[in-house]
Amino acid sequence: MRSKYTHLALTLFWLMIGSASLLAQRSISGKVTNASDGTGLPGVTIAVLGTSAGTISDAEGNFNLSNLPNEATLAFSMLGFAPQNITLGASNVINVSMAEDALTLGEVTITGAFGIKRDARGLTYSAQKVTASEILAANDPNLLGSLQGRVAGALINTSSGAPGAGVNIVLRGINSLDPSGDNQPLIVVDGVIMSNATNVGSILPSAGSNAFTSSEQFSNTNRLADINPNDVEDLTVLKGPAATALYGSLAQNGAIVITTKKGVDGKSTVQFTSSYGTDEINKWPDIQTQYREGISGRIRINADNSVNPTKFQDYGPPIRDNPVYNNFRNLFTTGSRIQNNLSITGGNKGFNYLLSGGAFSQNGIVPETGFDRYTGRLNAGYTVNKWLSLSGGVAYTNSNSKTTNGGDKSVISALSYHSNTYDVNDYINPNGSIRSYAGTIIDNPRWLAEFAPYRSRVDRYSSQIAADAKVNSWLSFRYQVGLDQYTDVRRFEMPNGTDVGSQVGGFLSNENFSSRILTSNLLATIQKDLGQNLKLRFLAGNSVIDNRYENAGSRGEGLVIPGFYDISNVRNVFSFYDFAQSRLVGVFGDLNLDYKGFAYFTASARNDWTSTLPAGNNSFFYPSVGAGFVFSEIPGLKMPSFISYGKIRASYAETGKGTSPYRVGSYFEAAPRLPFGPLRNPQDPTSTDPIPGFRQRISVGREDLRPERTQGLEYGVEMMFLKRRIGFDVTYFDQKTIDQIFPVPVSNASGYSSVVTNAGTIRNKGVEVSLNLVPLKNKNFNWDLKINFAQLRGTVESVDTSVGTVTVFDGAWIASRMVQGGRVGDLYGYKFRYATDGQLLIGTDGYPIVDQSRLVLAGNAIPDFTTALINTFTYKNLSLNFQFEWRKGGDVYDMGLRNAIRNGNIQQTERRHTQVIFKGVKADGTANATPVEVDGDNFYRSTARYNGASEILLQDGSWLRLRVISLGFSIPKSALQRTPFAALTLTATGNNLFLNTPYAGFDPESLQNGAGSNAFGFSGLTTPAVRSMNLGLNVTFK
Amino acid sequence: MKFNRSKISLAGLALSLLGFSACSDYLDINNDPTAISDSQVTMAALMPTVLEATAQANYQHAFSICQVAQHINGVSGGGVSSQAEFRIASGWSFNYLSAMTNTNALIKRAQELNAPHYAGLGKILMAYNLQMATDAWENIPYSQAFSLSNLKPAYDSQESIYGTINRLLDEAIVDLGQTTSGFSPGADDLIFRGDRARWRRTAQALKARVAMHLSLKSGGATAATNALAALTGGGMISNADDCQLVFNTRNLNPWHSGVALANNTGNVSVRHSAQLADAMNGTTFGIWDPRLPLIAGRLTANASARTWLGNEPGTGLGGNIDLVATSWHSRNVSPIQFVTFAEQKFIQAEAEFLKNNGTTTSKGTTAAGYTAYLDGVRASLDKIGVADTARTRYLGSPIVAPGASNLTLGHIMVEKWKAMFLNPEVWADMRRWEYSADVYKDLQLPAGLNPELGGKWTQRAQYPDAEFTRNGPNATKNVKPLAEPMWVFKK
Repeated sequence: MRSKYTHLALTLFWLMIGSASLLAQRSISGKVTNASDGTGLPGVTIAVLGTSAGTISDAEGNFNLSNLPNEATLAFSMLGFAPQNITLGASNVINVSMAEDALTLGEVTITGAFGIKRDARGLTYSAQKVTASEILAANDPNLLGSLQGRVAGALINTSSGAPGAGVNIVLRGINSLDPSGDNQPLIVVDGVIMSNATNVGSILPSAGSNAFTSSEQFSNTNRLADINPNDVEDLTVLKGPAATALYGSLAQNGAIVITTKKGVDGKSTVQFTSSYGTDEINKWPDIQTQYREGISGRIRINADNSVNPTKFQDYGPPIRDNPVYNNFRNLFTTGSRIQNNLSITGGNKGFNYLLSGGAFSQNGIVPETGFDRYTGRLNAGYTVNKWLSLSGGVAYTNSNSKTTNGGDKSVISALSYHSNTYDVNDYINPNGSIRSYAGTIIDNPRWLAEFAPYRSRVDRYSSQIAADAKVNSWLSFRYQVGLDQYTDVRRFEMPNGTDVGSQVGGFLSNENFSSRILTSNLLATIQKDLGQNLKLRFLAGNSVIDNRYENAGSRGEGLVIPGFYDISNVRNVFSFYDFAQSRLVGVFGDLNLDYKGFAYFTASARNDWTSTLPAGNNSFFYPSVGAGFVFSEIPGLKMPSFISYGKIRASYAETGKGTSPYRVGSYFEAAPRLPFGPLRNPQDPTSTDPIPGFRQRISVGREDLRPERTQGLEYGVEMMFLKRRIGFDVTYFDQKTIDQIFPVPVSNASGYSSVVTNAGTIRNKGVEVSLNLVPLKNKNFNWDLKINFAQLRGTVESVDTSVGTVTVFDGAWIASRMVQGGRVGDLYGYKFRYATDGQLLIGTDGYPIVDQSRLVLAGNAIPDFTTALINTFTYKNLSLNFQFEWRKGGDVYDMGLRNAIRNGNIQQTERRHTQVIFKGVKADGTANATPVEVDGDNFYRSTARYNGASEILLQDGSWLRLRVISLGFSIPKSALQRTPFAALTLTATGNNLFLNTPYAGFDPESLQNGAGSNAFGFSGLTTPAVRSMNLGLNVTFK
Repeated sequence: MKFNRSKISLAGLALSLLGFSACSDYLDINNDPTAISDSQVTMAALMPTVLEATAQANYQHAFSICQVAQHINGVSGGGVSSQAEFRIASGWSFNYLSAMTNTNALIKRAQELNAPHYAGLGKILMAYNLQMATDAWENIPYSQAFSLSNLKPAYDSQESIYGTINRLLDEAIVDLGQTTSGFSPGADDLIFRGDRARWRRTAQALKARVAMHLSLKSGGATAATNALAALTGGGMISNADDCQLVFNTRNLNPWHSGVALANNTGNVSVRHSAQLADAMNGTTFGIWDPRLPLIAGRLTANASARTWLGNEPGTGLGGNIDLVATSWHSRNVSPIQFVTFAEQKFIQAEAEFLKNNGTTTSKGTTAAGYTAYLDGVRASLDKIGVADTARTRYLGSPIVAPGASNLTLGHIMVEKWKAMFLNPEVWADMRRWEYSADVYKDLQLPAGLNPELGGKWTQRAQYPDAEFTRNGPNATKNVKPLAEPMWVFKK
């Protein structure tokens, strides 16, 4: 039915077509084929350089892309094939034939800041990419854990073997003198900042705990654990300031840019994965098997010679026929994990989507502990019209963990005291009460695990929406707004009658953390060819970030009805509220020049305004500059044939940074231990309610606080040889952080405990090497090898003279300190006394002497070097993959060791009641010849003779481990023809199956202070690490 | 329909950038909503903090000092019980950071707002904290303290600190005598609920205490005169005037949580010393002190042990009693005693004795002195809750009550020492009487004495490590040998 409206519609239609040519948008389609046989090549990644757009070829090798600028460049890449970049010509049909090639170094396109895909050739800094399959091959439920060994120079530690345990990551060293400073990289998911905070909270009771802080007690989860690794398409690690210049101050410690899977225009795919595995403890200390419970060589007795029912300490008489229990092993059971994931992707012209869901469930090796995670994600992209497309995504995670306490007076601490002649699993009386062989002095760890749980329930919502507008052939805009929000509800329960809880009559702690990060990014990109040889890309943008955090909590002490943990059931309630909000506004610009495809130049600048610094000083500007030179492709220069590729690059960049909110300003706040009361005046029958009190805040920030600044210099060489069969990338970096903002301790007589000021410089220098080899490659068999190596050293170049030393963590006998001229990670302890010639000094009593007058430098927690070897064999449908990692150096203090020595249950105390002559010299220089007896009382339990010394307490934490070994079998396509499956793979994986270390305790990789802490070198009182065996199934439906 | 979309877009971007840069309001959110500024805090909010912190400081000082004074002893050899160097680092923090800083703010506000009642209270607490600190460390910061502009305050001499203490107490007495005050303490005064008369009497007793400290320096008679002068017009009249912070079931007395409960879970630190136990179980003086079972608990129900034994000073061996959750000083609701009526009575007794030409070996005092002495003993017995019959028997014994003409300094000082169990003030008494065994019967150096002392008694605490690292030059300048007597306890 024709009408004037139809006529109008047609006119508009023709106008749009007409103006389309002015807008110069185009759609491209084509087919990618395998050069060797001409067959279609599925799964080829096609990226539009300079944007975040792209697609993947379908099962027949076909692809299409719409709304491309006139002069776009498409990058075609696929593992095992030589990459190609094709600049659009006149035709809208592009057919590409890809030749098989040995593995290239990394991937050709790197996802850089703000999701912009960059050609790796043009990068002037080091960036390391980890693919989805590499992430899944690691078989770690925590996304950061799956990066272990894959990123040269990253120090990644799983804090403990507890389910849901946090993973700590530090790139290029500790940059912060502030013990509570954040050294973790920025996490960006699909362009939006995502919190990776590890919330510690405060669950110490008002009396009775010896713990220093709550962080010592729990391996709290780092929030990146909320991401399902199956949703990740790829992950790029941007290590230094040059790489993160565009992200600004939040990325002072690097950035990890994550892209989740997106649907592809064309066919839809349904994929299902399922796996099941079991976990066991991987290492535990050796026990002594010769002596029973008791002290001084006898069973413990009272003053009147009656037997003392308290049986702790294992310095008793020799064991005759009493059973011996290896409690360090027996407390732990076999854990299990089950995982199921389903994802559906699809799309047709102009619309694509991904819908995924996952369920992960783990039972820990400590009985009654576990972690569950349920995730759902929806990503969608929609092409509105020729110049506008929208994309967005929403994800929900529910993470729940139930774990048990670590640190002081914890399950593992109690285990370090436990006698070998009592079975730790005999833990409960018929009436349900704790069966402890040592009264209220030591709790039974198995009972604690069951009756003193710490629960966390997280609900997390992340969402983002972006609009891309292509104004014309050379100008485009992108605006994205995103939200990452979670609540973490925690509860800790501690019954009365335990070592921890008895002083306050049992207690419970409730906390409600809430975090919200709002990100807004506006980008304008100009891409233009300047003449024949020079390509220009200029990016300008604005970023606004609003970060809000709250914690409302209460602690109830003195349970009235036992076992009922509700705030109504306690005698005393303590409550607290914490709030912090900060905002950052930044503008930035980035210029890239590409000369003839072999010379590159980048320059960028950013200015940030932060709410955390005083108004006069809250703006800071920082630039960066870099250059790259692909010397193997200089026209006219002929390279020897064995060199396939060679590039050198260098960059210099600065990043500025503010500080935590509310540091500046003089405040009065609620005084600790108050309110006081209720008060009952004996003279006066009336009583008052509890009276609150306030005090001057003991830490104050100077009004002239300036931003701190990181200056990073980086250069590197990348080369490939023998048709890209061998390749390496060596990067050297030198990074200095000046004007460090941290609390400088001051004399209490001034009225303050610390003043926050700019007061120090830390410098980190190091080298990162990646080596790729494809020793063998033919039709049926493929062997490739990746080796990563890194070495770094951090020094404290200067610290305000009034400070002296900064104590990062004080473990009572060993402390982590930063001292002017010292190294990052230095550990201080008490040492034995030595004569001037270096021999051990022996006292007049015949025993060595521990000098307890002051702490001296005793070791360093940072490894000398870290290296990983990842080896993959593929034969037809079988693949075998294994990953070794070696960490050399790095001293570790086992915080359970001293108690185990003092209680005499470990192997190193087995030699007793014998006479020895200590090798050394007396004070007068003569060789020692005094025979003395060694036993609990006169030696092992003596701080001054043995267990106070760092030579005993601090151990070499070097380790060599087999991180992953997996065997996979893909059912051949021919066998699947009459099934609904397009692909089916079975994989058997083992994690941490082999560990070799001189360290005598549990696995030394565990971090006592959990993820997000700067205190390295402390381990031992958390759930030990596990080794696991896993069987997985991966199915793609037709 | 051709419009230059590119130009409009660029203009839009420029506008938005402009808008953002003019956004200082957007970034002006750096004020902590969970805290307040110094112009908003009230004196009533600072008062409880100061009182509680002072009590905690008292505990920290007493924990080390009462080992030196042989009230308590560690359970193994060495340590403070053998007079090894001790620093009372937590005490320094409580005195300066928690108590005096906030007291200083309180006094300033009181002066700004014309509230002499608060000013008076503040001055008494400042004086008391200064007295605690100077008696432990001798030279300490004050005149340059409590200021952000001087993070390394110089240390004032003990002589000037004592001058300050007396001046503050005199001013406090005047301030508390004012009839009007802009604001007055009430429920926030955790000790006396705003009873100004009691605070004035406390200030007088504190003045008398401080005057008595100069007994060695100025001579007994002069000090005695000054002490009695401070008490003219009254001083404390009964145990109800005791200046003490009473703890409760929510804020546990630190002797309870830090010692009694900890001792129970195997983290034993200190127990009664043999010197104290023997003074009370009849060994030293031949009379059973009825307070002993009330201030100690026996560790094992051992019927055959008739005696209550303390730990031998220096070795920690041989004891069978402990501070338990029911002992008078270490219950959860026990008080921390700052200045008490009993102490004041003993000060009066000693003052009268010295005015009467008493010496460490002489006998005899005035009637007033004798009455004061007996009042002190009775006050202490009543405070601890000794039953009437036991009290009568004890006070009726010639060992305890020999008559005015037979009273010795030893009677007074030992009874005072027992009555002030766990009060760090006893160390001042011991030092000004030079640890004389004539005064404190059977007092001897502990086993394994710190060799640095060269066979002498320790006279001071060392400055905390933190002062050396944070205020090094000043701290180092004021370091003296541990055995060297302080200005106030030196002739």
